[in-house]
Amino acid sequence: MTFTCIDPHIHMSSRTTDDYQAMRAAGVVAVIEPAFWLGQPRTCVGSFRDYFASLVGWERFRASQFGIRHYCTIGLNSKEANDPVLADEVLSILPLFAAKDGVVAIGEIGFDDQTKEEERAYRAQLELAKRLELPVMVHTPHRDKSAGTRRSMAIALEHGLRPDQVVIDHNTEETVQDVVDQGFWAAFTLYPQTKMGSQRMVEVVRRYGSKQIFCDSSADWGVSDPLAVPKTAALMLAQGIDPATVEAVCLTNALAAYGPSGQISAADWAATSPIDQRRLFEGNSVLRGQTPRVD
Amino acid sequence: MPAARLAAWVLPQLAPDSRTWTEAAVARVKSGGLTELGPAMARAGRRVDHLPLVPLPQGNFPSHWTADQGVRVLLAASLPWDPAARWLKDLDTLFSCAEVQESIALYQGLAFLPRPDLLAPRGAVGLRSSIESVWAAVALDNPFPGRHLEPAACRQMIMKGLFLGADVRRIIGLEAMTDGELGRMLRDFARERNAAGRPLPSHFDAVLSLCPSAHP
Repeated sequence: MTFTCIDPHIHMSSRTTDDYQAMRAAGVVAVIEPAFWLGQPRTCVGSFRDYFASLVGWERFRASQFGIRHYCTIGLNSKEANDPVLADEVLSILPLFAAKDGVVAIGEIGFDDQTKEEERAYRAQLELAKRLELPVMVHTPHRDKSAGTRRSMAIALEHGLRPDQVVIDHNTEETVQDVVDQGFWAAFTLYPQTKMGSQRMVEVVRRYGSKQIFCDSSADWGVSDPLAVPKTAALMLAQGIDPATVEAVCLTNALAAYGPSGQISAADWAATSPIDQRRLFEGNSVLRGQTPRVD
Repeated sequence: MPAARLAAWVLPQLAPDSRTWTEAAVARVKSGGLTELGPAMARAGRRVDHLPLVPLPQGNFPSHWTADQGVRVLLAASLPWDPAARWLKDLDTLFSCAEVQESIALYQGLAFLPRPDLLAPRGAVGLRSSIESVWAAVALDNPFPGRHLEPAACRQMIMKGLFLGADVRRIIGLEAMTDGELGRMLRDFARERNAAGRPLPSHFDAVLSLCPSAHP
């Protein structure tokens, strides 16, 4: 029996349709895809523009063809924020994408190397989130994480955002207490082997409960597990965590965090739209000669 | 058509809360430019219904627009248009970031923007689209091509319309576009299809009959 869940941080444009099929079969009903870097730096604003367009366009359609509702975040990520000329060009087109259908937050933004340029871009985007009344998804750095996380939260508060408007992602056992104590959402990314894993997630939930906590896979262009969320849900249940807690960590808390955007709610998948793979996106199909699935 | 006339036509047809939202958004665009227009363009699709606008008997109002389309054009028409160079750059950005429904509204509205005489290249981009609904937004029920495109571009538009199986009789000003050169292109096309044993598209004869005869 599958447990209904969502993956609120996953880079589906890097994943194949096999992943969509497996995720749907495992109980994932919706995904949130943050705007991020592709693995090597983009060199012009047009690359960002076309990528943002695919997040709100083709990728949303591709997901729907496998019965998954797709949402995204729009933003200039920290890894590509260090060229100020390019950064300014990207910042200037964010208002043209951030209010489109399906965009649930400004993100994923924050620090990577914790440079002045990264801070400038982060602050500018916090102001944009305030202006557009959108939640914020913060990517915490993997190097110097604790200090970077604290700084990310302090700057968000400095700009007048409420902590419940901001999701601090990629938490660890060291960062979670502070994040939760200050009232922010604490998201945990479940990596296959390194930074944080399913068993450790079980321990985190045992220790901290489910308040303000949820999990995601951040599956991307590298070695990842797009089934991390349903697997973690199953592991939690198997190890005696009560179903209400598991539902909060794997579904409802993320909905509460991103719901204020007005762009995502459980009603979106409650009445399941039948899959119709005869549909086209601007004239294009996901099929390559297969018989269309029509529910 | 100046933005004021467009507003006078669209605004009274909106539901009260949509109208309030639109008037506030127009004011924000007039003072804030593209950075305000971006979110407003996106949100218009959700803040305004998609019911048809009623064209008025006088004044060349569009016949096939929905309320959200009317609002999107009104918003775009409110972008400060002086200096023209900056306005063209802003419009370029707006068009290139537009998703399909926004694109359709913008291309439908080309003739109602402040300086349509400067927008022939943008119209040509829309006509090159592989998305049929975007092509149709420029070509059909739209006074823009007849007023602002060169004859060669109009001929290509008609040919593409025939290839797409579109109802090219809906091209406004079609008759004025049907010159001797178009007649030559159509007759060549008919020969090509006949030689291939393939049928001619719908409305082919209707268009050819408007062209001057090959043998005066």
